[in-house]
Parts: sequence; structure tokens; C-alpha cells
Amino acid sequence: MLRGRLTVLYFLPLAAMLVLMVVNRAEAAVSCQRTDGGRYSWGESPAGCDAQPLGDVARAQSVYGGFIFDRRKAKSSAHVRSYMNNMNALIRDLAAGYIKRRNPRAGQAEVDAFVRAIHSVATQESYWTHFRWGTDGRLKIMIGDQGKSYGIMQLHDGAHASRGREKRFDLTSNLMLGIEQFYQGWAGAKNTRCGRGGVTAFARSAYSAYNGGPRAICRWTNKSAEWARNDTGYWEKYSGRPWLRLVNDASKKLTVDIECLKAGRSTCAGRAPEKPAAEPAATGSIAGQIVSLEDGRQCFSATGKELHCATDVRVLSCLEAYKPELLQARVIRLKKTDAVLNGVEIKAYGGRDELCLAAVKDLALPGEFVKLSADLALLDKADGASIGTARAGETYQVVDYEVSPTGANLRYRVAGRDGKFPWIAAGEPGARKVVATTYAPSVKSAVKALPVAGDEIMLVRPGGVNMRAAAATTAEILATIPEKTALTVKFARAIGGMGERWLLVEFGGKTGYVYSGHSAPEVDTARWVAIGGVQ
Amino acid sequence: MRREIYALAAAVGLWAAIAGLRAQDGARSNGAPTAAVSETEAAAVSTAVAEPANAAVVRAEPKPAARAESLVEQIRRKADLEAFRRLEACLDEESGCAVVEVEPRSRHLWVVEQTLESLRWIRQAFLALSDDQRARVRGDVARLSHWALEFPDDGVREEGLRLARVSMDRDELVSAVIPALGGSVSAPLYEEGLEILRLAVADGADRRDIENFLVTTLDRGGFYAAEETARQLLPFIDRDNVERFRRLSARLAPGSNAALFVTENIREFERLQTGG
Repeated sequence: MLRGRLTVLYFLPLAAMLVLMVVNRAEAAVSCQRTDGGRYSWGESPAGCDAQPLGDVARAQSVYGGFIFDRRKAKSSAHVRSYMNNMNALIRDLAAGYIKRRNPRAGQAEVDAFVRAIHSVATQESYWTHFRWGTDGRLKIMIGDQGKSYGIMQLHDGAHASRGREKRFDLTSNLMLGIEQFYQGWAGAKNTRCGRGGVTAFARSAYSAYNGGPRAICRWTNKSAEWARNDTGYWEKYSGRPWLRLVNDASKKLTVDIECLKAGRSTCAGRAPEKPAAEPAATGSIAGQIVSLEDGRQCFSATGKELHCATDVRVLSCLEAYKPELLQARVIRLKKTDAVLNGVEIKAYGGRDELCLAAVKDLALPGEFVKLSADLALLDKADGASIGTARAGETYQVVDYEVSPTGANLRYRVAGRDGKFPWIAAGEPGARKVVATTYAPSVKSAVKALPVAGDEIMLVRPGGVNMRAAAATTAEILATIPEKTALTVKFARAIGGMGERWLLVEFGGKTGYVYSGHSAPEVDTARWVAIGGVQ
Repeated sequence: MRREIYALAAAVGLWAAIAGLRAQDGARSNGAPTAAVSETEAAAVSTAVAEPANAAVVRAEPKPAARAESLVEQIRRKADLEAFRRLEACLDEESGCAVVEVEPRSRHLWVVEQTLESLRWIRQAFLALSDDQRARVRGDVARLSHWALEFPDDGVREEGLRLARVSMDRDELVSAVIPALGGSVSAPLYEEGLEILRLAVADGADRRDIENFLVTTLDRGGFYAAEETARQLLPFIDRDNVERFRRLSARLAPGSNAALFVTENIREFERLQTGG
């Protein structure tokens, strides 16, 4: 008896410490705004929280129309079945594609088991609940575990790979991060004592690891384990496949382009690759349509009298902001010789700035500067985690940007003070937290990473740089300018989706363009030029 | 009995931590050494570097300081691999470690939090040493880094990378980083690891293993790890391997970010070769 009391006494300080730890963690968790209760049922598990402060709501609505459960229609079997069919297809295709890529040798039986396992995880964790329209008509996202776990796969905020809120918020990213974590356990099970029973053992081991951490991989074999009930619950779902009672078209094809969703883009709705090629054809108007030309260009037409075309997906991303209604438009595949294009002016965009400026009027372009009107988090990625704070009043040079449908989620990549290139979220239209400003002596404290008109530069590429007649690597070479030559920039322009930056300069009595690096996926200007002349 | 021993150790550890914190009352609150410390100052600094509150849990035999312990001695004591392994063993439910499990991952999160706190302290303390002092504990810290890089948590691996970066030489670092990344799907971990590999390549490290690792990751690695690798590929492309990456880009899913980034980096490499 006394020994038992002493044991309790030993534990007390540790327990107190852990309780404090848990309290501290909870304080950092998301606070659920306008909670939408729901039942533990398909599409509406507790609790739905206002999506607005947690992610890009405009994009979520545009991209995921058919994947948003509507609580106001929860009693409509047609709505529930449509939702379940769509979710079934998305989970199936993401899971199957993932295991085939990671393990090309996986046989069909293993692929099928993996897909079934992911369907089961999503059931056990959330009953396939991610986005929903709440009873108050607002978009919600499921947040569980007292604000610590996100969405359909209930990604824990302590999960390293999902660092950054936007990835957990996005339905496809949430599924992908969950699938990745689950696959680690699936593959790892093959080397454990409990993974020797084939795909069923992989499925059970992977869930134990998913739920309890990598070292809990064999937890499912211990019926008296602290969290054995979770393994049992998962196994019941895996065995019974309860979703099949509501999925009445298990082989339904996705009507969205899955690679587009996985890449985090938004004009994915009308891009199902399986769409019949001859669908739209040579009659009717192309107004308000996305047109896919056989030469690979993607275009849209606002009036039917013109086509705005680009080949680069990052250029096309500005379409989303320019014409958000096109997000749900279907793709028409055409040849340039089709009659419907007779008399239609085709406008090709070589860079994204013109199109993006048309969509977001107050956009600051790469090379320009923005001044902060509020403290802002510095993010490691456009959708990433905070790595510091930029202070109100500070000025930064823009090196890249991302826009979203309606321009609501404008993010700038800027030249940081430590030589890195963090991102900042500029805020919503009408309530921006940054203002575009021009380069002037007053902002010389800002780091300049991209050369602009008027700058003195020095070429640093060993072997020198070509001066061309136009801003393209196919243009005539006028001269080769030696390394360490100092020049004055007369004009700077970016082309292509990756911000390939060309500078107009004078050398040897000629005027032409020199290349100075791209802005994406990473800024590499320093390989080409040093700003500020001879240093 | 075993449970009671652990509980007793934890209680003693907690007492030692609280005692340590009280003794340091008035010292800097965040506990992180921030500036380089000369050898002669080491002993004095050691009293100002607050230990993490939970560091005592990691210790094999908590010893309330009877004399001022130099920072070098503290690092050596705290980098005791056996103590870290004992803590790692707590990941297993059968270990008997007393962990209050309020959620399925409580055990994992608790062990990770304790481990990270101690690793961060060791790194910051190591950075506060002079070069001569570092040389005396570099081996201990490097051994600990190897252990951390194999730990089944990406947060600990990330801290392991940071520790490895300051304690290992180039070739040891490369051979440790590649398997650490290969066992993970975490893009943030890759971001950190690829930066290390980039610096190693620039410093003349053997490119073959690195190139094979990059190709494998892009081909069959984690989805976001592959995307991050594609994003950072440019410094790893050279005349000998550009064709290999070109063939690889043709295998990547059309429209994926990985394909987009690899293609653009190859184009940039070509522009760098020809002068734009």
C-alpha cells in the first residue's frame, strides 16, 4: 500500500510537468471560430471551424466545389452520394498514383490494398470530412483534437512535413501529406516483425505508426495497448469498407486534373485529361471558355473575339485571378484551323506580368519595391511557415509573386536582409498590408537583388555574357561582353513564367539585351550580375 | 520495479532541473548562448548558460553542480549518447517510461520535445565555444548528430542536420545527410539537407553519390521531397549529368511542379553554359 503511494508521489512532479506541457501546446492550437458541430458522419465530423482565417477561402471554393459537403443538404441522399463519389475518386487516384510512383514494382493487389487503407484512414480520422458549408452558410474546415489536427487526414500540427498552414488547409495537400506519412509506415512494415502477413499486415502496421508514431508500428498486435481502440476502429473500417454504402459509382473518373491539384494550382476544374477531344467543336462561341490548342498553348476568351494564350503554367495562373469564373469552365480542345477560330485574334503572353497586372491592379512587379504598413510574418514558402517578422515601415524589393483567384491571396517573394528570399502575404484587396513604392534614396536600406533601370551592374559570369538583339536566347548575338564589365541598365523586363530577366544595355556602341538570371524556382541573379558596379 | 526506478529518476531529474533553474535565477531567461566565448571565459559562461528545464531527464546520473562546470564539460556530459538512447527507448510503450498519454502521439511528442530541447542546447553551447574548445568535444557532438539523423522523427533529424553541419567534416557530413534525407518525406528537412549538399558540391565533394540520391528522390522519393529537390536542382547540374536529368524530366508527371522546376533548371544551366 505504502509502496503504491510512494509510486504516485514519484509520478506527481512528472505528471504536473506533462500537464503544463499539454496546456502550453493547447494554447498554441487553432481557436475554432463559429463552430459548426456536426455528427460523426460522412462529410460533417466535429468540428467545423470558419475556414476564413486559416487558408485561402476563395481558392477553396473555386477549386473544390464538388468536394465541399453542404450541411444544409445533409439529408439529401443525392448530395451525399455526389460528395462521396467525388471524394472516393480523389482519394483513390491520389493513393494509387502515390504508391505506383514510390514503388513501381507494387502489384495490383498491393495498390488496391493501399487505396483501401487510405480510404480507411480518412474514414477513421474524419469520415471523409474536410471542407463543408456550415449551417450558417459559411465555409468550414474540420479541426480536431482541440485545435491541433487538421482536415480529412487529421494532420497533427506537430507533424514536421506539414509545416505551414496552407498545405494542411488545402484538401489535396492534406491528403497527400497524410498519404506520404502513411506510406512511410507501409514501407517500413516490411522490415518489422508485425509486417510479415502481407498487405493486410502492412495496412494495420502503417495505421498504428500513422496514429501513434513510427515506433508504435506494431501496436495493433497488442490488444492491451493504451490506444488499441484506435487500431480496432481502423481495422473495422478496413474490413467493412462502410463508405461503399454511399459510393454508388466507385469507378467514377475525376473531372479535375489531379496533377494540377497536386501542384497547388487552381484552374484544374476543366482539365480532366480524359475529356473527349472532339467535344466542343467548330460551332458556337468560345466566349468564357478555356481553349486548349493542339500546339500545347492554353488560352481563354472573354468576348469570343480574341484568345489570350500562354504555354507556361505560371503565366496561366494569372488567368485564375483575371477571370475567376473560368476556374469551373470546361476545356475546349481546338486546332488553329477550326472554323470557330476564324477572325479570332490570338494574343500570346510571353511573360506573366501583363496578365497578372490586368488581374491585380495594385500588383508590384519583380524589381519594384513594397513598403509594409503592418508587421508581417516572413514565410519560408508562399504557403509556408513563419521564419521571422518583417516590421511595419520596412521596404523590400519584390523578386517573385503568386496570385490567387480574385487576387485575395497575393503573396510576394522579397529580397531578405540575410541574403535569403522569404515570402510575405500582402493581405486582401482593399486591405493590403503593403504598398508599392518606387526605388529612391530613402529606400536604399532595402536589399536589392534584381537589377532595374538606372542600376550600375557588373557581369560576373565567367566567360562573359551574350548581348542579343532581343530578349530571347534565340535572338541574334550582337556581341559577347567580357566578365567584370561594368554596365548601366537602361531597361529591365521579365519573360516566361519563371521570371527570366533581360536587361537592356549599351556596349561597344551597340544596344542589346543581356540575360541576368531567373526568379523561379530560385533567384539566381548573383550567378550573372552584381548590382552596384565594381565592388 | 522497473517503472518505479524510472519514476524515481524522473522525479530526481525534475528536482535537479528546478534546483538548476533556481540557481540560475536572474541569469538570461532564454538560456541560449548568443555570442562567441573565449577559452578563458568558458567557466564563467557555463554558469550563465541555462540548461533546458528538461535536460535532467536526459542525464544518466543527474549531478547538481558542486563546482562551476566548464561549458566543454557540460557539453560532453549532455552529449552522452547512452542517455539519449535511454530517452529514445521511451518511444516504446513497453519501455515502462512514465508518460501521461493524453493522445495517441503523446509518447512520441514528449520524447521528441525532450530530445530537441537538449540537442538545441548542445548546438548553441557548441557554437559558443572557441575553435580549440570545439575540437575537444567535436567527436562527441558528431556522434550525437549521427544518432539524431537516424531518429524516427523529422524534427529531431532536422536538428541533427544543424548539429552535423557544425561538427562534421565535409565527407562525413555528405555520407550522413544522404541516408537521413532518404528515410524521410519531409520537404522542410530536404530544404535544409539540400543546402548542405549544395555547399559540399561547391567545396569539391564527390558528386556521384549525391547525383544518384537526387535522381532517386526525383524519380521515386516523397512527393514534396521531390518537388523541393527539383526546386533546388540547379547547383547540382553539370555537363556530365545534364543528359541524365534531361531523361529524368521526361519521366516526371507532366504538369507537376517537379517537372516544371527540373525543366527550368536545365534551361538555366544551358543559359549559364552559353552565356545567355
